[in-house]
This record gives sequence, C-alpha cells and structure tokens, in this order.
Amino acid sequence: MKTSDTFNINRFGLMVKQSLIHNYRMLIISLVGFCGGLFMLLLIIQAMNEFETWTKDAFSATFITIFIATGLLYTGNSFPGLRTREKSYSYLLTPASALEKFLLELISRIVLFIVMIPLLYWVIFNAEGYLLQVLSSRFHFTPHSFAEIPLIQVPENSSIRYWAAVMPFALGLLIFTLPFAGTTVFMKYPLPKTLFSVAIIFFFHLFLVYFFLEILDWASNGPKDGRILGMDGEGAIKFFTIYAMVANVVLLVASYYKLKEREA
Amino acid sequence: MIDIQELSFSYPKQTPLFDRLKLSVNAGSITGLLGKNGAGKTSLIKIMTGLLYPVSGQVAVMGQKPRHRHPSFLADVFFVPEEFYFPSVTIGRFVSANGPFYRRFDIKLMEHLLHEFELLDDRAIHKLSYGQKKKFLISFALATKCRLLVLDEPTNGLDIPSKVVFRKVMAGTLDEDQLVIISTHQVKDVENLIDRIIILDEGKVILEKDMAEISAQLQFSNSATPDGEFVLYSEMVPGGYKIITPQINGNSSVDIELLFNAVTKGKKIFKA
Repeated sequence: MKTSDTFNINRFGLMVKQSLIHNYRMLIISLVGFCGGLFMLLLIIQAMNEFETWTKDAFSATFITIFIATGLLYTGNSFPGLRTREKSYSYLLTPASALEKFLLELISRIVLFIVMIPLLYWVIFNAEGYLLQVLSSRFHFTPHSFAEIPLIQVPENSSIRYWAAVMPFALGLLIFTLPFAGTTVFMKYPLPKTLFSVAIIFFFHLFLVYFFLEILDWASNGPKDGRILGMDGEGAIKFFTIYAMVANVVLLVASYYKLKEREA
Repeated sequence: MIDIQELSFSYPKQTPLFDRLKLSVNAGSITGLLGKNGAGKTSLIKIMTGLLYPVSGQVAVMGQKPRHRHPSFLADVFFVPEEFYFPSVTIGRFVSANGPFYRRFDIKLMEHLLHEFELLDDRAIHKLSYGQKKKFLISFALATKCRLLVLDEPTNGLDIPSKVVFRKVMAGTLDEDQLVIISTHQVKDVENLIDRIIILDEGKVILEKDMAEISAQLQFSNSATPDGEFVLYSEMVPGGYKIITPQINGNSSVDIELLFNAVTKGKKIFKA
C-alpha cells in the first residue's frame, strides 16, 4: 500500500518514538533541572525580599520573565539535528517528510513549552510557598493564579475587547517563532544570530522613524492628537494584533520551507 | 537505478565541480567510486542521496528526484558518511528507534552482523571507539536492506580483522535488487569486493566499467623493465615495475591502484 509522502500518522508516530528514545535522558535532566532551578530561584527572590508574601505583581513579573527567558533559550535550540554537518546527515535522511519533521519540532518546542511551563511554574510556585509556610511560622503563603496576570485592560463593552485579548498572545508567540525560524536559517549559534538580526532590523526601523519624523521634520506636519500611524488606540491594537499574527504565520511557513530546502 | 544527465554543480563562490556530468548505474552491483581528493566523490554521493541539490541537470534515483527527499525514497536509501553522529543511547535502543523507518529492515540480519563485528546490543554507542561506531553503522546500513547503500570511506578506522569481516558481510548479505556504492581511497580494502568501477576526475566520469570487462581487456603484472612493445602503462615499485598490457591470457585480477593512476594520467589503455 502506498503511503503519503507528505504526511503519514504512523511515520509521525515513529518520529515521536525516535525523538523520545534519542532524547529521554536529556528530557529528564532538563525537567529536573528546570524544576529544581525554578524552586531555588523563587526561594532566592523571596529571601532577598525578607520572605515577604508574594504579591500579584511579583507573581506575574517573575512568571513573565522566566517564560520569556526559558522560551527564548528552549526555542532557540530547535532543530538540533541541523546544528552540525554530521547530525544533518542523519536528520535529513531520516525517512520522514519535511512536514512531519517540522510538526514534531513545532509541537515539542513551542506547543508543549507553552502548555508545560505555566503548569510547572504554578506547581513549583505553590510547592515553594506551602513549604515555606510549613517551615516558617512568620511566612504566610497566598496562592496566585494566571487569571490575575494583567494583560491589556479594555472596557467590557469595547468593540476591540477580542483584539485586545488576542494581542498579547500574538505578540508573545513571536518570542517563540522568531528563534524557531532562526534555527532553520543559521547552522551555528542560531539564538545569538537571530537576536542580533532582530536587533539590526529593529534599530533600522527606529532609525527610519527618527529620520522621517525628526530629521525631515515630518512630525510637524503630522496629526497632533496622539494617533499612531494615523490610527487611534483601538486601530493600533487591531493593527499590531494582525501584524503579529501575520508575522507568526510568515515565520512558521518560512521555517518549514527552509527545512525543506536545507542541504548538508 | 541511478540516472544522471547533464549534471552541473558548484559550491557558492567556487569553480564548478561538475559540468554536464552523465552517469548511469544499475542495481545488482558493488560499485567503487574513485577519484583524487577534491574530485567530487562525496559531493556526487550527497547529490545522489538528496543532501545537496544540483545547479542544473537531471538526477533520478529509483525513479525519484533525490532533492525532494520523499520518505518513500529515503526509506530505500542509506548513507554511511565518513564522519557521523550518534545519540547517547545503546545499540539496542538505536535499532528499535530507527529500524522501523525502513520497510525491509531485517532484525535477524542486524543481530547476525553485530555478532560478526563482535558488538554487544547493550553497549552505549557514544562510548564506542570510532571503528566500533563505524562497524555498527555499516551493520545497520546492511540490515535496512535499502536498495541503494552509499558508503563513504567505509574501511577508514577499521582494524585488520574488521576489514576482513567487512568484505565477508558485504559479499554475503546483499540482494540482487540492491546497489552499493563505495567511495574510497583505500582501494586495496575493496579490490576483490567491487564488481564495477567509476573514476571521477575534474568533474567528469573518466572511467565507468565492469571489473570483468577490465579484466578481459587488460593484464596487470610485474616486470623487470618498464619498456616493452605491449606495455600500456608502467609504474616503478620496489624490485621492479608494475605494468599494464593488453590481455592475452583470458583474464587477470585487476590492480585498481595501477588502473586508477593510469586512467587519471590520461593514458589510453582501453581500445577505442
């Protein structure tokens, strides 16, 4: 029976099995290391604050910092099979399609991370808090949940409340899709190279804005009512949400094609 | 099985490696791919397996375009590179993780080859020596029963007994529908193994013949002098000369090294 050369669920299952068998030791070490490291970090942060009870803001800020930092590091090491020529031989010649290899990386590097890290953070945060409460009578632990993390505040009846809800996720996803795409473009040190490339693009655009608005003095002819690119606040939220969503899709599609066209 | 037409290839910012190269190889042989350093042997192998893409020309392997790297193609091709990577797992785990990708994978043959090469199932691959890793990779390649097996310098790093085992298992485990391409500089290691030879030089195939055909046309022998009416090519060696003359006795074993030197020096040793 002829199987599809684009996607086959059995072959994808074999890819998952292969990945688990090849990496199970690293997975266990990383998981234990992350949980232990996070526990220690939370303890140190509290010790520095003389074991004050966690506030909602401290809970949110710590989570967002850890999520972004570990997300960049973890996603920035996607496609490990492309890092050296020797690894590329066996990775690219593994009898699975580019789509299957791409999906496995996408799920294991982005989807699982987004699901697992908040869960692990919540568990470790609570475990650390309750442990401290048991050990120290003067410490009182107050549990927090992710529902308390403030995203973008808009009135209940605002026409853009859905856009406002989506925007942080769309922008946040860029933290993952950018380094993910970078790992298909750069063979060595993909994360620093990606960050450097993004910084160059960002500062180039910043320079353009400065050049047009300040040097050419276009700002003096522009609207005076605080509008951004001719848009009001609601328009800007819609614009940046769509921009981030399109950028995510473009980066993922580009990663797929870079993988498909990769040579060794 | 392999049909290459008008293949052109070059690395970025370098002079072209292949310019309209043509090559056809059928299944059922062990073919030696020879060439000087930088002749393009490894690049040609990578193009055949889909690791490099041609600039222009047609490359068909088992009726497929290697550059697409379709799973149905990859499941029938195995490449043993000179330098390779293994994950930190045991031989047994590696086999259970990777064997199922190959539809004709023969676990009994795998066990037999591991036994022949004196490798144990529970050994961690990353802790093996280079030669042991290579023996394992060769064993795995043969056990996949892929229709195209490509081996780049397979005997590098093997000790003398292992080279004997290598020749034995290569000769004894292949099916009629398989093609093995061995790229090597260690011609003595594969002299009695290969039944077809391809010599690459300056981006062109300058010789493509069956060993039987070469043996029927040329005589490889030793002589006290390099001269003689029928000597096509000679090379000084300790104690005399190695010479190539037209075949008169029916056939003789082929001295691949001598043949290679004669052909790459542009000597006309075959009848037009």
